[in-house]
Amino acid sequence: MKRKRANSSNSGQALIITSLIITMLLLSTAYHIIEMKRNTTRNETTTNYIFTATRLNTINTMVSALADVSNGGERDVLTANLGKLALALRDHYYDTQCDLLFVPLDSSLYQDGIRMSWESGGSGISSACVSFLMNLSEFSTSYNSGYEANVTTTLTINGVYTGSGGQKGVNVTCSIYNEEEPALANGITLFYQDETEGQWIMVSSSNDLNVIDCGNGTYLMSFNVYAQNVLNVSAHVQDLRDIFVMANTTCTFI
Amino acid sequence: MRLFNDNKGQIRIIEAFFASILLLSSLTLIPSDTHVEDSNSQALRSTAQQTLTTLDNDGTLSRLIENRSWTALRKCVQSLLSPAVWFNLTIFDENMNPINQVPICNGGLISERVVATEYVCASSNRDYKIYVARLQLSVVS
Repeated sequence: MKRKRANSSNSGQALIITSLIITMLLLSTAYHIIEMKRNTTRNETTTNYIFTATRLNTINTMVSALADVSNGGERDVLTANLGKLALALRDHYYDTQCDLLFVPLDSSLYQDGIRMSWESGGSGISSACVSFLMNLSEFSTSYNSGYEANVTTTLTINGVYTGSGGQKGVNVTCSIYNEEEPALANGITLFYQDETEGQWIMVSSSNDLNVIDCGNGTYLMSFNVYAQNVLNVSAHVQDLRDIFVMANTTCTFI
Repeated sequence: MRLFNDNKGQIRIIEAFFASILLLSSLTLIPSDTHVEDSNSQALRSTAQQTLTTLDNDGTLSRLIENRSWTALRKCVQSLLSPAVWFNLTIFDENMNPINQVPICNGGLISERVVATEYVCASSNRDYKIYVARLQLSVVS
């Protein structure tokens, strides 16, 4: 009888201990789930921020390099500056390793990620194109994101002239685009050529130059010149990002 | 006697469950409180991150840093934040030397709980440089 009572008591204690263990397990599981949820939210926010920030910085770097190259700088500045950026990003984040890999586009149009098509024909393009792969590594997770960034300033020009003999009135329309969106110019300089293979002459106020800024990336310009029948005009444009682009066209008689 | 013993065991089990529930409820208060605190910090950090990325979205941040326009930069940050938020922006060069001689902030610190976020900022002009912007935010708790 005594043994039975002792057994009953032990059984109760065992049940109590078991219930406590189960409760602790449930408690720790619940706590773990809460922590995981919180960490996941924090990681997602931080990861999105790093991705956004890195993307903006790569675009800024490409704009800087294109502005430099289009104004006479070396083509390899794009690769050099992106290398600097990748190094700065890798060293910066203390709890995340950010590796930025990049491949400047090499094709028939692009060399070292840079394209400058300034031939005659009414349009000019200054462009940079790079493919990026971003890898973020944390303690137990890693994220990858690949994207292609393109920075392009496009200029289109067309011109018409009126008048007979040597004196001509010329109307030129210039349109500027940044990534195919209308953009404003920081400065436009016009040149004309009064004979084929002749010297380019800058249009100035002495030519009664009149410029109308339409405010939507289109500029209407008119001026007077004394020239032969063949009249080529050239526009040299610096956009608001300091990227240079030029385009030539032959004016048509109306 | 057997029945009494059984009842005693059941009561102990019930007691243990009550004790467990008490323990559970008292312990859950601790992570719950921490969670609320972290949520506030997280929201503040998110605000700081959004402010910095918005500022640099059109190259404004790098341009103002290049021009050393600290007053304009302060106004830009101020316009993006609630008046109840205290901020202090510090700009560093590549070697983490502060370059803004003038404080870019909206007054004295109002709370001990400060959240800081850093942003690597590449310049978009021809003279390429990399800066680090550190934005500290705080709200009245």
